Amino acid sequence: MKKLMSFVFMLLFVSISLFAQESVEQKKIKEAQKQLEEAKVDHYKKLNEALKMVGARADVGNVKRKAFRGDNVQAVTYTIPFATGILELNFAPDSIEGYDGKEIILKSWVEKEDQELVDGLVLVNSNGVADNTGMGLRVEKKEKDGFLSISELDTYGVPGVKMMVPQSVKLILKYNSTYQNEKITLINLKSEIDVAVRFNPVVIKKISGPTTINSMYGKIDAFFEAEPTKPVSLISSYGDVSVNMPSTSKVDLNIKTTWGKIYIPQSLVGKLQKDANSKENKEQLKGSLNGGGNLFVLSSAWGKIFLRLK
Amino acid sequence: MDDRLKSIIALGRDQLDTAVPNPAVYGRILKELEGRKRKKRMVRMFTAVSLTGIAAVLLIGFFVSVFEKHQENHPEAAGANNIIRKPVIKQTIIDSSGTVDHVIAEADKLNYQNENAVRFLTHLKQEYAFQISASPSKRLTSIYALESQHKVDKAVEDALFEVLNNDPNANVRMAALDVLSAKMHDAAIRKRLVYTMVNQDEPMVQLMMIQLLSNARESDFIEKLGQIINDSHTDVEVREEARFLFAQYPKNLN
Repeated sequence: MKKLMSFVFMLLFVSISLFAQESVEQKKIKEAQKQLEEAKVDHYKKLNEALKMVGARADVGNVKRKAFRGDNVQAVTYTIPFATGILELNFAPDSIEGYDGKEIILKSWVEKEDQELVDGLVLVNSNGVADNTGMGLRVEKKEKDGFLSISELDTYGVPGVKMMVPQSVKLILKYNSTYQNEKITLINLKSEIDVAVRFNPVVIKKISGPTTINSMYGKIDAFFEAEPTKPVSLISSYGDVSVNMPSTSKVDLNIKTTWGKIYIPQSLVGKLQKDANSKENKEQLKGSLNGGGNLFVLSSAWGKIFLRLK
Repeated sequence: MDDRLKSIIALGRDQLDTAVPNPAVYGRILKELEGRKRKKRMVRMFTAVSLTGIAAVLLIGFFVSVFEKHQENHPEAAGANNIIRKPVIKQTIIDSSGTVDHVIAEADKLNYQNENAVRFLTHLKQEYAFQISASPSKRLTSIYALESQHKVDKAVEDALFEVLNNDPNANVRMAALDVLSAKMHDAAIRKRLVYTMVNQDEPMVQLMMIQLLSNARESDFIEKLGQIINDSHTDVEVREEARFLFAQYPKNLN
């Protein structure tokens, strides 16, 4: 019996010591993870400051470019019959406004002096693709009917383009250039919107179709006049995401940020809860407004998220 | 006097001891005595068995936890290296205006060989009424519908990875990453995420993947970060993030 007891206690001792060793290792790992988190916070603070400086420099560039433009400009308008289908834009217009029409209208400006110099000539890019709008843009119909693309030829961007688009046209906008980083405003569109930009801030107003927008550095501002009735996903990596919508909106909210902050109205406190499945995301709130309905995703990894109800 | 009496009793005990106890009383006493003996034996046996059992359970528990940890660090990452980038499917999705059938037919025409992709499209169509060509927002809604499921089967997991790697819309890819990140308790999914992180061509999604996986303690994470840093095609911001984490990553986490 004594032998059995001593054997049992020996086993117990070995087990406990092994568990203790395991917990020491866990403690070390936790400590190391804590150090990593602290280093990350410091890194992202510096990164944010650097980004602000880059943004300020870009703003100065835009102001200079506008000032240089002066009064010596000539308005250019280009019209394309296109009532319905998919419109793909590979440039960053200042604004895209929906209207009850059957044509896409592009409005921009060119330097008068430039016009005199290039009289009788056409702008081409390094691939030999020519400008067919007179404003540094190429309009192309794809093989399939109902698919139109407009791309810039100048790698430095085509500034100041304002567009009027039939409301039923589906819009795809993809733009990655660092040179044209001004705000893009989308107004009064009823069909689907798919926007993917890198530096441009994006503003949407009076939008009622399904909407997916992402901007790596730019801020996203959304103003919904009426309750959103289609899925919406607004994602920025470094920029803020701000939404203003009617308090009667029936949406399933999914809000998340890794390093940013989430601001919601007082009336929603307690109604949104952390997602139980998601342990990896630092801040993730989910909840239904007015019984829920449409998916409504707001995400910014390093920026702030603002949700306002009116 | 007393000694004499004692010796007389001792000599004639059998003759003197003639009284018989009441059988009922005697039986009760015997039962009580037997019960005590049994209890004593049971207590002793219970102590020895319980102690051995506790020790055995503790040992088994410890070895199971060690084994599980080992498994987590060296999972059967079947398919983790099988990530085949097919820009063809991306093009098909953008240009198509029909349903999933149309996409599959297009894929067949183009000799698209990735069985996983076709299986995923078919599966999602059957199970979740998923229409890949319909619109990004519909794909988004279908994918978030998977979020409520605690476990996903292999076909759905494959589908989510296909979306994560190939969908033309970054918001949809982020949705797939959201759903997969909620399943990161599964070591095989973590492992696969680490492998796909390197090949992710959407910078915003790649940044989020790096962030997500930096705390997951996957054994290959640092090695993959190194690959990202050295890949000149990778986005500058992503490489910068990878470089930062590479420098900061505590050695004892890997």
